[in-house]
Amino acid sequence: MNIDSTLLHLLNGLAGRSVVFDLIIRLLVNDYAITTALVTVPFGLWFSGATGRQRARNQRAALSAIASMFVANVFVKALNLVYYRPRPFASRDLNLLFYHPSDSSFPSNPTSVGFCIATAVWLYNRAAGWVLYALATLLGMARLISGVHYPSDILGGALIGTLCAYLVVRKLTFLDRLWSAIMRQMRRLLLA
Amino acid sequence: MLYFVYRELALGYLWFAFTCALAALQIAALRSKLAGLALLDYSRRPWLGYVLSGTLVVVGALSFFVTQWERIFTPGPAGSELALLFAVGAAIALACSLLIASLRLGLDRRSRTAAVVSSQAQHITFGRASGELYLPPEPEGPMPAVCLVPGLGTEAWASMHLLAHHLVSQGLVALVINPDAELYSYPENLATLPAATAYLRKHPEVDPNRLGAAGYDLGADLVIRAAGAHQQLRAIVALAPLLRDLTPGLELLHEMSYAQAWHWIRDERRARLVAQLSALDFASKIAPRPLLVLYGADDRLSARVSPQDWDQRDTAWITHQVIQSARHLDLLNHSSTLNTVTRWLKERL
Repeated sequence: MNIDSTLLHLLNGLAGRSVVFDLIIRLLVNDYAITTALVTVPFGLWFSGATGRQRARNQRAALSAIASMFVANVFVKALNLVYYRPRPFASRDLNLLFYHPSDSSFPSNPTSVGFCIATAVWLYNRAAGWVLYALATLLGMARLISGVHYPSDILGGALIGTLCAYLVVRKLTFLDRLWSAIMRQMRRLLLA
Repeated sequence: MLYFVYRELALGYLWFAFTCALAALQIAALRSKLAGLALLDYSRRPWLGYVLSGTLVVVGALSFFVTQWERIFTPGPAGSELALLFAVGAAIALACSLLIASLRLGLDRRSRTAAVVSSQAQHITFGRASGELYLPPEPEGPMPAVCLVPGLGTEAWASMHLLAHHLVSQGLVALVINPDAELYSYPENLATLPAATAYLRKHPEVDPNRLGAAGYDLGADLVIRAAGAHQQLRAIVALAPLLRDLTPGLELLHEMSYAQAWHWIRDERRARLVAQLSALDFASKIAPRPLLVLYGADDRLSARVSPQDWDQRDTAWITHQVIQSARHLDLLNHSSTLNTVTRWLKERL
């Protein structure tokens, strides 16, 4: 048994032992709870900042997070076209705490989205970025424990998300001009 | 193509997204002091904002997860559909915040405006302008007098009559120039202050050699500009002068509601007059007469220039002061502003 399977069984072994623990994992693993928190933080950041400069940085962070999500999603979809990995529950006896997703197990799409939002924000606002990293990590762990991903899927998702956000913020510098234009228009509406 | 799988689930998530976004907006309003986004007044009770936000998240989460628990663990809407639902929920939350804050601040402003009374004032006209003259009830010979010039569109928030009352209580004569259309048309407004001081110089209870001027907001720009050419003014006070054209955005919501802010930026006279008066360039003509420049520490509507910005080698004649926890529009409502200005003028007139 390789390390991926060993870790999967170890973590999935935590499920099914306690009703309360399972309930917490099910609350974390679904498509609504943490994902909503992950997008609510950048939304709140848009309006936050003690100074105009700080607020402008936060607004760039929010816009970069949206762009990073788009890039990460496109990358994952493209990868899924050329590589399909069956879900772990398809060939193993696991304590499944979630429904049976039918798409490729690798990479974990929710984890890639979580990490790309966290990285995009972290590059502009460290404090908010750390909070988002914690949320993204929780989401990845919950998906592991509930038996819908291998550890390498989570790791792959986190890596893809982080790289996509880094690419958007640090390499695709032309986007900065687009953000400035959007912020200028929003400023006219008194919303930036 | 939008599908959403279950209508109930989609509507439930829309409600959840709405409550989360509303909570995030309240935290942002609280931490960034954006009164125009706040559902309640958090300035005195910040804990109220955290309690309200926490309650919104708990209520939203409970209602969504309890009612949709079974559907949540079946394949539901796609990521793009969830993103759309969140965006709609967030937009509704933003609209609600702006609307409720507008209603709240509108009511608050109405109650504060009603509190300003100028019963002691005597209505006078001078040149093409008019004003309200305040005289101490028991004059003791010729007294120093101060012309007070209001800001553009600021009367609803902060009235120069408050300062006039304070000056009169300290034995000074005060003339509040009315914010007529004349005051906001250039170059006609350059003649207003000389006309007002000419009136005061002829008044039997005013000492013609002890005249000062104080302006607020755009009125401060006008006072700085006019005082340069009007040597009879011995001391000048600029309360939150605009000096430079700022293109404000969200900052306006620090001080006013969205509806008020929208009305504020639509008034094109402000930017035009700031450029026409160019007070910063004319300030040097005031020297060596003393100039007090006063800002609120939380003022986001004026350029907040530093002593170095006056482009002078010797700026000893300029005194810069900051009033803690004061904003642009409530600067005159702070007792420390009134005390500082009155003390400073009394010492120099």
